[in-house]
Order: sequence, then structure tokens, then C-alpha cells
Amino acid sequence: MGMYVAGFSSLMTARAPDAGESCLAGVRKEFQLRRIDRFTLLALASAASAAEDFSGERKLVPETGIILASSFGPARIILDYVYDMFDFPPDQLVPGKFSHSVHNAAASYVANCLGACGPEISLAGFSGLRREAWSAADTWLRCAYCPRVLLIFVDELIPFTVFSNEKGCTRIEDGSAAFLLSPRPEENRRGEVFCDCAADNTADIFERLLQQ
Amino acid sequence: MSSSDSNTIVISGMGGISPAGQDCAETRRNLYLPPLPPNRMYPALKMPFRLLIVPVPKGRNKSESLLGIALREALADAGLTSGEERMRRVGLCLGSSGDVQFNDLYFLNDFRNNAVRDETLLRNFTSGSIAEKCAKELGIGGPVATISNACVSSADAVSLAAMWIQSGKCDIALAGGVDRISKMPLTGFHALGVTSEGACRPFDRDRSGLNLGEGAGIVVLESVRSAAARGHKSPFFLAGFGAAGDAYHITAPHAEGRGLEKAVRMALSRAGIGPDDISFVNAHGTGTEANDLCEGTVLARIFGERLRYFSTKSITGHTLGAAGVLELIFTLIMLDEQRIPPNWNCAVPDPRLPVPPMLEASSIRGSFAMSTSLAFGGCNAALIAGRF
Repeated sequence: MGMYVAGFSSLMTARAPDAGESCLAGVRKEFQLRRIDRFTLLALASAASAAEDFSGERKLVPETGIILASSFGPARIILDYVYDMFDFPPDQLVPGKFSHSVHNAAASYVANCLGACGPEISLAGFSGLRREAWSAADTWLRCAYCPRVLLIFVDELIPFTVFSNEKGCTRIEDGSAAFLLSPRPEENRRGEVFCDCAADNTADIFERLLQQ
Repeated sequence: MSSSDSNTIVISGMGGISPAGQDCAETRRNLYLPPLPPNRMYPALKMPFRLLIVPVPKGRNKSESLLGIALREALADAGLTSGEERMRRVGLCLGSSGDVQFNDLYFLNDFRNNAVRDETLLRNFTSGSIAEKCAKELGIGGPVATISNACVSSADAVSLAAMWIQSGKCDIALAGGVDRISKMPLTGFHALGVTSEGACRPFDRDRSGLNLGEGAGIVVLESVRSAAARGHKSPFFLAGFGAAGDAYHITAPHAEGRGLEKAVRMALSRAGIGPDDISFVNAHGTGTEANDLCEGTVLARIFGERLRYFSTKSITGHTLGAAGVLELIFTLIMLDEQRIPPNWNCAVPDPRLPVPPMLEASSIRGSFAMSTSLAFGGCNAALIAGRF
């Protein structure tokens, strides 16, 4: 069984900061998400455009599965919550900050906004994360767990993740990329992905799609 | 997936530590005894919780210790040894809610004050996910993944690991999860207004919220062919699994349980069985009004009047990312005993529930049982345990 890229989009804010921020502002307005954090918007921006790239609509068919992969997750809001813990008594913390600090909040918003009710997982990790995410998508499609998978990679640069990069702990970039994957050759719009558990060629796939 | 299908996933071992017991043998006894009250209190919040006391070696955190205990028990039960040649074709899929976040309070306080002198903690965190680090220690060479899907994390880990085997990515996979109590979930769940000031009472008319708990659980999944080839016999198999999203709200379940119903029906369909084949349901049952009403209503809609269900969170508290796999293990133990406990701490069932939970221990006859999990973000999962 093959795995085909039926739709693709990316928002590399690190490469085009002004255009990126304006795109995020547009997504915030489009989906009426006044209070949503930037990490979630990054994920949603690419996800909605990948759906549109496939069908012309910023919607997914309801059975679509979602896999979101991120190293630090919503780090900005996690730190916000932790700093509140330092500054305020334990009975004065903001519930919304806590509920949005969980790793899967962004995937949940993507599902809500794009109307996807299929299986949904968020993956965490570092050097092996991208390989693991492709493998999970391939597994879901092979086992007919859902008819298509929207695979989203997202991370956000904030002072803490910049610090992690500067210390050589990570090489996080600011931005997101989303791949709508299908097992059906007739839905192949941007190429076939061969999933090899021993290798990670996400960067090659990504650069090739950007050139299309 | 029937028990005779070559695609069947054998559960060839299990290990778990939770407030229900330090291992599966102790858990087996405690599931049928009235639970002790929560053993710790967060005084400023008047909030009881269930803390485990385990030795934590220097250089390790509590989650690693809990996970180590569950892994050792599961591997021994399955007749596997860490580092053996076979482990090079084994997969490892773990779920956790808190252990994927870098939230060390001392480090972050230093960071905020520009006073970080030693990056070791951060370097350790970014050196790999919890599954990657465990895989390295155990000599595991197959697929690896760490899922962070709030309270369904480890249930989803079991499903993904099962599909690795079904898709030929490995012959054996360890699957499970871990979560430990820390200040972040304690204050966070309190802020959400869903914690109880007493022992939690799932499905009770006078329930007042959840208690937090902690723990770790691991199941060893294996293809029939692999188990037969090494002569390992187990009474259990994973009959089916399903997952679906509500696409509704960040914390509240869909009022009509849209996602949960879909997840349950998907698991039944993948197992190739009907609702009448399920002898009982070990429900998520957190003891919050939103969860209990949604879950009780959906289960009654699918299973009808003959539904037998209960929650074990009155024994363990809510172990978050570890809850899915721990409750699968409890379900396997009950299938093996052919006996289910009452829904402890439920004196008067909520009259809005179409079918009341089990109020007394009861013997059962059957080969299949279900464990359900719900989470923030509207994620729902159902696992079906089978007994040969």
C-alpha cells in the first residue's frame, strides 16, 4: 500500500515573519478564535490550507484522522501557567491557561475548526519525532483506521525554545507544515511517500513540495 | 478480530502500579475491596489526592521509576528480558500527559530570572521522548512513539502498538503509559472546578468531582505467530479498539457523546462482535458531572438495559495519561476472575443515568469486556479485552 500526499501546506514563519504573522491574524479571524494561542494558530493555518489544497474547501471529511507532532508543544502557554504558579496563590490560577497547556489542545482545535471527528493523537519527541509521526500515519492508513490522515508538524520559537536551541539542545524552527495523506493513488496530487522506519527524510519531502 | 484470527493481538504480559496496587497481584486483590480514602491533601485547595510512595534513584524522576516498575513486571510476565536479541524487533509506544512537558519549576524559575547555571535538566529532557529513552535502555529496535493525548494517551498507545503488529512493523510491542502527580495538574484541575473535596464518587447522585492519582501500566502485545513460535501462552488478547473525536469543545465532552459512541462502535466493529458480546464496561467515570452523564447515556444507548458498568477511579483516582492502560489491565484481571466489583463509593446512582452502575460485586460469564476513555480536546477511545 502506498501513502500519497493529497494536500500540502506550510507556514514557515521563521523564513517569512511578516507574511506569517499576517496569515495567523487572518486565520484567527476566519475561525473566530479570539483567545487562542499562537501555537494552535500555527497548526491550524497549515492544516486548513492543506485541506483546501486537496478539496478547495477549508474543511476535512468527518472521518479524517489527525496526527500532530511537536517537540515542545504549546510551550508559551505552559510557561505562562508556570509563571502564574510562581506569582499567584494556587486558588487563583486561570483554568483556560491550564486546559490550553495540554499537548493535544492544538489538534483538538484543528479537528473542531475543520470538522474532523476521526481518531486524533498528538506525538511528542525530539530527534526521532518526524520519523515516528510518518510511521504512525502510515500505520493508520495501512490498518484502515481512517480514510485519510492529516499529519501536522508544528513548533514555536519563544525565548525558552530559543534558549534550548542556543544551548545546542534542539534545533527548533518556528512554523508548521501539514500533509493530507491518502492510501488511494487517485488522490495523489503531490507525490508518494515511502515510509522507512530507519530513516527520516521529512526535510527532503518538505523542500520538494515547497518547490512545486 | 476473533480469537482465532491470525491477525489477533495476544496480550502476552502486563504490569502496573497504581493506587490499586504495587503490582498486578496486589491489584487483583484490591479491586474487590472497599477503597481506602485518598492518602494526601493539598491543604490550600482542600483537595485530596492519591500519591504513590516509590524509591526514586538519583538522576531519575518519579515517572521513570513508576514506568520501570511496570515495565519489569510486564516483561517478566511475558517471558521477555531487556537487552535480549529479540528486543531488536520489539516496538514501544507510551502515553503521558505531563511527562512530555518541560515544566520543572526550579529550572523555569531560574530561567525567568536569567539565572540558569546548569542546563543538564533541559539537556536530559531534549535527549529523547520518554519512549525513546526507555527503548534505548531496553535495547528496543522496533518502532517507537510517545503519545500525549491527555487522559486517553495510554489507550491510544495500546491501539497504535496493536496496529504496528497488524501492519507488520514489529511482532511484539510494549504499550502503556505513565503520569505522576505534580503541582501543575493539581492546581490546573482545581482551577477547572472539577476536583472533589472528598473521595471521588463516580456516577453517584452526590458526586462532587475527581481525585487525582498517579501510576504506570504496560501491556505486552504480540502476534499469534510470535507467541506460538516462542511457546508463550496467555489467556488474553486485544479484541478491538477504536477512537474518535467530538470536534466540539476543548474540555467538555459532546453533550450527546458523539465521539464516544463512534469510538465504541468502531471498537466493536473491529473486534467483529456486537454489544451483546460485551460482558461489562470498565468506564472512564471520573466523577465529574459532564463525564458521568455523557458516558452513562452513551453506554446505555449502545448496550441497552443489560449494560453492566462501573468506574475504578474511586480506587485509583484519575491517573491521567496512565488511566487508559491501567483500566485495560483491571479489565483483563476481572475477565480472568469472571467477577466484577461494585462501583465503589456510589451509594445512590444519579437518577439521570438511563442505567445505574453496578452497586454490588457480581460474577460474570463472558469472553469480552470493554474499557472506555475520554479526554480534554474531545478525544475518546475504547479498548476491547478478550479472554481465550
